Amino acid sequence: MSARRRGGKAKAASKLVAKKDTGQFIEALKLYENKEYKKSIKILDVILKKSSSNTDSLVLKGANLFALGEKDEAAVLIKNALGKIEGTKASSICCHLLGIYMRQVKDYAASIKWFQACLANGSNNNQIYRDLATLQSQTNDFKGALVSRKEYWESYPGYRANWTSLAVAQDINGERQQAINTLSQFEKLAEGKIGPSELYEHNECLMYKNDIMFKAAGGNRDKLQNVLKHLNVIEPNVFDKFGLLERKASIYMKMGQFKDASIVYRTLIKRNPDNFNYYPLLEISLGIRSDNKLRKALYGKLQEFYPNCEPPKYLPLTFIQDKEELSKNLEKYVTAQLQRGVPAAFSNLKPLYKKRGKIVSNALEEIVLKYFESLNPKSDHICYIWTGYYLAQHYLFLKDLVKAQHYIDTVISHTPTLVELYILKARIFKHLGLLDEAASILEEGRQLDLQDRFINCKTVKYFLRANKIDKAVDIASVFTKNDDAPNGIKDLHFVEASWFIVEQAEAYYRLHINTVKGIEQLPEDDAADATKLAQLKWDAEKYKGLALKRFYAISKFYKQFEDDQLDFHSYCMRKGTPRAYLEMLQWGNSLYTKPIYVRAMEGASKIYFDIFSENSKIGIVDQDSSASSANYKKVKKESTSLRRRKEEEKKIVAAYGEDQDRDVFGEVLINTEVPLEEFASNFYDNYCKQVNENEKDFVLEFEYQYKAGKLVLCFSALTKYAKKYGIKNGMFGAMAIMLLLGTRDSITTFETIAKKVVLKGFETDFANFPIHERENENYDWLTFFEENYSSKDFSALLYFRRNGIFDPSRISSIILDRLSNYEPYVKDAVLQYEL
Amino acid sequence: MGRDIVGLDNVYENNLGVVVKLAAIEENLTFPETFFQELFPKGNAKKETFFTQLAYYSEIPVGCVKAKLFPKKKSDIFLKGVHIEFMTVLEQYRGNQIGTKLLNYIEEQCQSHHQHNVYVHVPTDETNKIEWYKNHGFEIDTEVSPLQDFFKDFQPKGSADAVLLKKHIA
Repeated sequence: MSARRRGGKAKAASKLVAKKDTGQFIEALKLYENKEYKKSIKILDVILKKSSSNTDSLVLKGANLFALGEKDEAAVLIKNALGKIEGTKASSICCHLLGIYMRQVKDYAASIKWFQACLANGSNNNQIYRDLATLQSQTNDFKGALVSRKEYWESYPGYRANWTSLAVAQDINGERQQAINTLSQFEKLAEGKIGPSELYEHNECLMYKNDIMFKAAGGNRDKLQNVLKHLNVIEPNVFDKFGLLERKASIYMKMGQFKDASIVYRTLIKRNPDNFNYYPLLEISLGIRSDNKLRKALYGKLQEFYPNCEPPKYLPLTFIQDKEELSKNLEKYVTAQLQRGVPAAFSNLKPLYKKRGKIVSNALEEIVLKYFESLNPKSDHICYIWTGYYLAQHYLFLKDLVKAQHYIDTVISHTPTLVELYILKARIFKHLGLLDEAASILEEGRQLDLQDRFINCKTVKYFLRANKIDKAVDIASVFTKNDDAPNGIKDLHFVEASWFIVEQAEAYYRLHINTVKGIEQLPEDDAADATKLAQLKWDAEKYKGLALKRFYAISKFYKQFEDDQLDFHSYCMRKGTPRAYLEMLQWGNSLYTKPIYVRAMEGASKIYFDIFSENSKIGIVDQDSSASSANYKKVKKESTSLRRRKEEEKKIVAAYGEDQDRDVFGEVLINTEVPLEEFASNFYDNYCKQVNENEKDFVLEFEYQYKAGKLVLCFSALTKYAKKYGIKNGMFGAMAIMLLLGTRDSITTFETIAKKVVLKGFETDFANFPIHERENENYDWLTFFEENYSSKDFSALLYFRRNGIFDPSRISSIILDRLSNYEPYVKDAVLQYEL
Repeated sequence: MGRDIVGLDNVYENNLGVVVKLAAIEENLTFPETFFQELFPKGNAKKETFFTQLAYYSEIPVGCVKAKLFPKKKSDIFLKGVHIEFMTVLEQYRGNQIGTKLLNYIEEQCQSHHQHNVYVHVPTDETNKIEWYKNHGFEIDTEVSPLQDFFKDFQPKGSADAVLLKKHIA
C-alpha cells in the first residue's frame, strides 16, 4: 500500500468534535497525518479515558494502530466505534477516517458508504470525490463514479486528468456525445499551450476522442464521414500511426469505399508486412475473398514485394485446393525453412496440419522424408538436425510415437549437445505415458545448460507431472530468491508463478489419491502397525491439504490482480492513457474466466466435493466412527516422531512467511464444515459473476447445484448444456440420468416441489428420455446409457463413478474397454487416478 | 568474408554439462566426477591451472578440450609442460578443422604460459587418434611409452595402456 493512500488527508476539522476535547483531538489528528502514530495514540488515550465512547477518538486510534501494523487491535476498536454510531450519524472527520480505514482493509463498499456519509455530514473537502470515484470504478459502480468525477471536475477544472476522467466516465455510461464535448472543450482550452512533455498525453486523448466518435457513429455514413475528417485533422499530432491507419481502413470498409480501404491496408502491409491480420482484410477490401485465382495472383505479387516475409508465402497454402499445386507450394515453403535450419518450421506449419488435415500432412510427410534422405549427416549438419527434428514432431502430431522416437533418437545421436532435442524427446515420452523417463530426459537436457530458464521450467513441470515434487522444487529454486527459506516456494508465491503453483497443486492431489489407495490396499500386517498407518494417514491428509492450499493460492493471485486495478483508476487519468485504461477494465471483467483460474477452480472443486461427500457420510455413521477416530487421535498424539517430521516439512512447504500464515498444510481449509459455501466464496462466485453465460462450465455448475440440493438449477444447467452440445452428447446423458434418478420418491435430500418442476421440465424438453422408467428398480440405466451414448468418450462414465451412481466395478470395466482407443498418456492417467 | 562457422568459447559452470556429455559419448574412458568439478574448485580446494574450451559449430557445441598446466615436472610421466587430458569432436562434425582449432588454442596458452611442450596420453589401441596427433606435429615419446595400465582407473572400454605424445613449441 502506497504512502500516498495511507496518508489520507482528513483535514478541515472545524466544529463537530466534543467541545473541550476538540483541541486535543485536532492535535492527535495532526500527529496522525504526520505519521507520528504513537504520539497520536497517547493523546487519544487521554481523551478516551475521560469519555470512552468518543467515536472520533476510537476511530482515529484504530487508524493509528492500523498504520502501526496492529491490524487485529485496530479491527476491534473500529468495531467498537461502529457499534456506537447510529447509521452514518457521525462527524465528517469520523466518516472520512472510517472511509480510509475501510479502503485499507479492502472493504470498498463500506468505504464508499463512509466517504459519501462524510460529504453528506458537512465536509467540504472535495478531494474526497476523487477517492470516491476511484472506489466506485473499482466496484463497477460507474453511474456513481460519473457523479463523483463531475463533482471533482467542477472543483478542480485546471487539470487535464479531471477532464479525461470525466469523459471516460461519460463514455462508460453511454453518454458519448457528452464525452466528445468534454474532450473538445478541453482541447479548445489547451490549444497552443501544450508543452513537449504533454504531447503524448494529448495524442492519446485525441485518438480516444476518435474512438468514441467511431463507436457513436455506428453505421451512419454522414457521421462516419465526420469521424474520417476528424482523423485527418488530428493525424499530424497522433503517434500511434498503426492505430490511426487501422481506424481509417475500418471507416472506409464501413462506408463501403473498398478501394480506399484497400489502399490503406496496402500501406499497413508496407509498414509491417509480417502482420498476418492485414492480409485477409486486404482480400476482403479487394473483394477477392472467394476467388482463389485472384488471391493466388495477389500473393504472388506480394511475395515479390516482400521476399523475406512469411505471410505472402504461407497464406496461399491455406486455400490452394489442387493437390499437386499445393504439394509444390508446400515443398517450396518447407524446404526453404529446413535449408536455413529453422527450428520452428513445424510450428509454422502446425496450423495447416490442424486445419486441413490429411491433405497437408501426407504431402509434407513425403516431401520432408525425401528431403531428409537427400541430406548428408556429415556435411549438412544443421539441415540434418532440424529436418529430423521436424519429422519427429510430424509423427508426434500424427500420434505415431514409434516413428517419432526413431527420428528424435537419430538426431540426438548425431548431435547430443542440443537442448531442444531433449525437450522434444521428453514430450514424446510423455505421450508414451512414461512420465518418470520423460522427466529424466529433460533433466539430461537441462544439465547441458543450467542457465536456460526455459528448460528449467519445463523440467520442473515434467517432474511435477511425474509427482516428484521435491525434485521439481529443487530445480525451480535455482532461479528463485531463497533469502530466508530452504527453497523457492515462498518466492514462487510472491512472484505469482501460477503455472508452477497450479501444477504443484495437481501433483499434490494425485499423490493424495495414490496415498489413499495405498492405505486401502495395505497388507493386513502393516495395517495393524499403528505408527505406519498414522504416517500414511497424515500423508494423505497433508497432500490433500496442500493441494487445496495451492489451488486457493491461485484464487488469491487473481483477487490480487483485481485489486491491483484500484491504482489505475487515477493513474491512467494522470498519465493520459484512457485507451489503455478501458482495455484494462475489459480485462478486469473477464479475469476470473482466464484458463489458469478455471483450472484451479476445477481442481479445487474436486477436493471440496470430496470433502462434502465425506462430511455427509460421517453424518450417517457418526457414532460408529467416533471410537476409531479417538483411537487415531491417540496415536497421533503419541507419535512424537510424526510431529517432528511435520515441523521439518513445514519449512519445506511453507508458501508464506510464518507471521502471515498459520495453516501451512491447508488443514484448516480441508477441515471445513461447509465445503460448498467455501468453494463458492473462494472460487465459484467470482467465476459466475464474470463468465459469459454461453461459455460456463455447465458440468461443474450441475454438480455444484446437485450437491447444494438445487435440482431446478441443475435442470437449467442441463438444458443449457444440451443447447450447446446436443442431446446425443455422453455428458448430457450422464447428467440427465443422474438428475432423473434424483427425482425418485425415495430420494429425500431434495424438495418435493423441485422434483416436480424438474420432472415437468423433462416431459416438455426431453420427452424422448425414458422418464417413465425412473421408479422402476429393475431398469438398467447403464445399459441404456451404453446403447444410446456409445461414443468413445469416457468422461461421462467417470462422472457416474465420481458421483457414486451405479456399480463402480461395472462402470470401470466399460471405461477400460473404451480406453483402449486412447494414447498411453491418457490411459495411464485415468487408470492411476480415476479408477 | 563471412563469419567463421566454427568458434571457440570458454567453459562455464553453467555449461559444464556439455563437457560431461561430450566426454561420455566420445571417449572410451569414463571420467570421475572430480575430473570435471576440479575446473570450478569449491572452498579451499587446491587451485590448479586448466585450459578448457568448447568448440561450437553454428552455435551448437560439438567439441571440447581440457588441458592442465604442470609448471614443474611431477614424475617421469607427468613432465613439465601442458598436458591435454581430454580432447574430442563429435563424430559427425570431424573433418572441419575443429580439432585443429582446439589444439591451436592449447598451443597458444602453452606459449603465453612460457611452456615449450604439449603432452597427451592416448590409449595404445586408438590408432586413429594417435595418427591425428602425429599429423598435427606430435611425436611418440619412446622413452616412456608404452605405459602399462595408465588408464586402468578410468574403466577403459579398450586398452588401458597408453602412449605419450609430445609436441615441442619453439
